[in-house]
Amino acid sequence: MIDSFAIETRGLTRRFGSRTAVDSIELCVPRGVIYGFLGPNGAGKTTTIRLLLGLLHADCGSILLNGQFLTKERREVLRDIGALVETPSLYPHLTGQENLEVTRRILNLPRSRIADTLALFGLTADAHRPVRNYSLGMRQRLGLALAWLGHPGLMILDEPANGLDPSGMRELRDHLRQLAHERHVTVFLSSHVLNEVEQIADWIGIIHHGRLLFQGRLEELQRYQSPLKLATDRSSNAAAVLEAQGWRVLENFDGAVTVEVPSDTDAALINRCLLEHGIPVYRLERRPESLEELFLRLVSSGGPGGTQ
Amino acid sequence: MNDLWRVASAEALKLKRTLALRLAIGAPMIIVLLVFGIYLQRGGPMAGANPLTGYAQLILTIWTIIVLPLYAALAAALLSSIEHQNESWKHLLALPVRRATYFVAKWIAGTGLLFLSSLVLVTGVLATDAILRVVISIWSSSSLPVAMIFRGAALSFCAAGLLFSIQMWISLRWRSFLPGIVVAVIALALMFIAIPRGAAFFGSLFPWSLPAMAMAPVNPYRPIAVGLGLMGGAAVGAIACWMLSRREFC
Repeated sequence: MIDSFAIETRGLTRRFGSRTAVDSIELCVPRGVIYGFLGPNGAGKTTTIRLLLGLLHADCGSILLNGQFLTKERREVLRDIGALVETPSLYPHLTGQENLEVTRRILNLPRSRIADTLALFGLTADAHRPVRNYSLGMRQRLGLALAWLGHPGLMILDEPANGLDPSGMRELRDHLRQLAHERHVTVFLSSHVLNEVEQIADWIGIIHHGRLLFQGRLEELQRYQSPLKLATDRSSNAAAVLEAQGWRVLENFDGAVTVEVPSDTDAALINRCLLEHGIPVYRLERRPESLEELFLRLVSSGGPGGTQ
Repeated sequence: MNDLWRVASAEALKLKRTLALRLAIGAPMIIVLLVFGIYLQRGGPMAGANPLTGYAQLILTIWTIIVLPLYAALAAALLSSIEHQNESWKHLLALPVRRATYFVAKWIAGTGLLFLSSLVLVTGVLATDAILRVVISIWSSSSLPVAMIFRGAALSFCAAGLLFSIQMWISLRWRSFLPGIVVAVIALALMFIAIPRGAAFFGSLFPWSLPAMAMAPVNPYRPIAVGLGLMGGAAVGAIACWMLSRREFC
């Protein structure tokens, strides 16, 4: 159902000369979630976001925002979208309040919206200071405030945590959680700061070399990829047996073997296989992996089902 | 139309505390004060039957030949750099407004600045004229050619439309400040070198000399200069807005 997605792309492709920056991407962002769009620098995140906002034109494929096709002529589709692309687009010679006023006038919003938005992002006290005197964190908050000014149902944020210190990141996280959970806004957020995304996102998409390697719930990704760690007193023998049976041994260290397993049924198979070879297994557990480890492994293997 | 009105009103707000706005007032004021200072220093009538006519003509000549074309180039570059420098296009163009609206609004803002500068010039001439009459008593009976001043300022403002549109197009097309300024300097150099040696007709076709041609009281090609400035400016502006709205700004 088209209506169930805030963002949906079909075969979205964009080339720059001979380089394909975004390659047949099929994004499906459900409504009401915080979607972390992950990828290393140059993976195609910003290009994808610029395509979603109509800032760049796709070579092929289509974009649906809230179930409506985005085309050059259909700018109204963007009315329910707030965006922050890389660094906030602010006018440093204007005050924070005036910066919001510029967008308010363009969107024809009520005047009261400015005071409400400044309060929500904790900028009321600094509203009448020129933005050139704002700290990086304040600028980032003002950028978010600009994106939120029209009360959109979907916020598209490109690397919003860029350059923020830990407290700034925490503030940003709190604001995004507040918007998503209290105001039911869908947040599509790109980042290469993996632990940030891990702490906030419900859904994850991983892009590399312009291709979407994974898309789904965070737990799905962790469960899908989390390796199995087994404890035995004959770890070298166990590793040899498992490799001979076709499993990929990631580590064999100090009485513990770590094996890459695609599903939980493999755990039972591994256990039976080792017992059949007379190797005792004392413990079998999935080793919780950080998103960073998962991400690096996915990127190096070319996807959840890929091999190195 | 409502969109255009709203975006133009946002453009007006963006001008607050900008060099473009300060120059719209400062540039004509400097010319007026410079000539005023020269006249004060001389302390008496210069050549000509009516010294105040000469006073007004000198100011208008400096304004239309040098300052107006330069200010138009500078205003275009400064207006565009508000968006280029702050990378604001990615914010503006992601809003639900037709792209061309932003560019038309820029043209309106620039035209407003040129109009303001012409207004300041006329006001400055009128104000300093009053002072000159008081300070230099023998001029008290001279009359300032008010109609000539208004006509000269209005016609040169209209004739500046084409050069402003060209400058605006260049400044919006390229992020750097340089192309617009380089074009303006080369065009002015060409105007000073080539136009005096050629026919006045060709001067009436060269965008950067149109304001001077429109201001000159005895010039059969004045209607061409004014018409070309106005209609050429509108045509170039329309084409530029259409082309810029098709461009990717990121």
